Amino acid sequence: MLAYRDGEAGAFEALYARHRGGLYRFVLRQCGSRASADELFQDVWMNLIAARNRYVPSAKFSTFLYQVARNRVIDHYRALGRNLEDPEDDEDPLDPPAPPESQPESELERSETAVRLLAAVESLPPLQREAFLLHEEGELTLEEIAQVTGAGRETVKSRLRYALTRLRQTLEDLR
Amino acid sequence: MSEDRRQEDPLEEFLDRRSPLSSTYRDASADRPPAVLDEAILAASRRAVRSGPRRIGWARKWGTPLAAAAVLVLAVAVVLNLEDDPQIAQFKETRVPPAGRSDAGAKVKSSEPDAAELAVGKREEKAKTRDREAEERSAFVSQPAGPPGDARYYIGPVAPAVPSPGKRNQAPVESATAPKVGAAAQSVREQVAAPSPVSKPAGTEIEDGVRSDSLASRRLEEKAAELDEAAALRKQSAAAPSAATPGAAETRIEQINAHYAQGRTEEGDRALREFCRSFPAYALPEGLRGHAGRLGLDCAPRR
Repeated sequence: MLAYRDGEAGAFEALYARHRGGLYRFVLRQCGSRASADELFQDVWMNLIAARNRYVPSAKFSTFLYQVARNRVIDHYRALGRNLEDPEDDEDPLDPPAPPESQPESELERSETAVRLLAAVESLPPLQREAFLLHEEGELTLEEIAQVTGAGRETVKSRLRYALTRLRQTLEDLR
Repeated sequence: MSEDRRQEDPLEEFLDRRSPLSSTYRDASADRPPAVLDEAILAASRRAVRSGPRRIGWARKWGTPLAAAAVLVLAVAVVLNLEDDPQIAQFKETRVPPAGRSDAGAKVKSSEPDAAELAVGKREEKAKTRDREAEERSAFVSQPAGPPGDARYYIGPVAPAVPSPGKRNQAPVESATAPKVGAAAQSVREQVAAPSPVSKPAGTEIEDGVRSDSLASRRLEEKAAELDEAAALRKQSAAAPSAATPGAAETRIEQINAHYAQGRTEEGDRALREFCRSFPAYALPEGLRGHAGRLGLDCAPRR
């Protein structure tokens, strides 16, 4: 990012190639709609391009990038009248994930396990889903997730534990 | 406690990316942004680099000013070194324009007393060395004292036939050397008076030795006389108004005119000769040109 800030266009292309897939999936799973995901994804990168001259490396680039994306997702939630950071979402989910029939038709072509798992991820409470995706897609550590979300390390651990329990339950139901 | 450990284990496994859940998720999740989005974002990034203010690195930003400052510092250091070099000072001294031609010349001369002092100091040192050599030569009577013993040549432009323009402004400085010239002459005279160790060979009187002794004594006397003359001329030049002093030439012109007006032609001629030696570039007034022509002086050559 520093190289891009100093005028090297190739540096941005390398960054984009490294993070485009993970970031896109993070946004897609968080907002649930491909159209919104496209819009949010583009916004995140455009904001990054516009703010390149103000960029100061204070953390790992991926931490910075996912923080920008998270802020954009929160804005999106607010626009929809929802709250991503609802404390009630930290509670252990008891409701089962949505059945595969409710998912878009294209996903039916995938294996049943994959479809069910993705449906289970999308049905997780937002904060648990966020923690899970930041680890899986952003490859962030517990500390980095805590930094991005502004939560404590143990809180993040707890969210992840709840998310895993629910997802494992979904997978076991399939066997 | 053991339940907690069992609960912790899948989490640790997941955090280490070894969990079957992770691998299943990665296989299932293969969504990518559309190519159109990729192109739009990359194009925007290139556009921003082309149009936006390009931030340059530290070296590129400060390189040129630093190089310029370094060159400036080096140039000043070299110039200061050159100013201190006595050879350069002497060279500059010889290039100073004549006093009578412009006021600018006078300004330049007045700003260079240090260079003149340096040059005079160097000449004094040379004169001392020559005096020392002359003393040594006087001890060895078989070696004749040659022309380099001429004090006028070494000490400075006391009364040269045509003094160089740069030397005229040194009169006040050079006047300090006059006593030294007198002292040198005195020392030569003392050497002549003192019995030479070579001229008195122990127990033998050789006629050639006596003859050469008297020849050397005569030469030393001549040299002492020359040194006396040089000292007298120095005193005279120190007492006379300097060419560098504004109005000095005019004062002397008035004196010369007074000599001629009062019928003291010889004194007038002598003063005119001295004036022309001191102010070779001075344009004589109409009344004195005739006298200068009569005496064959080319005081103010016309172009």
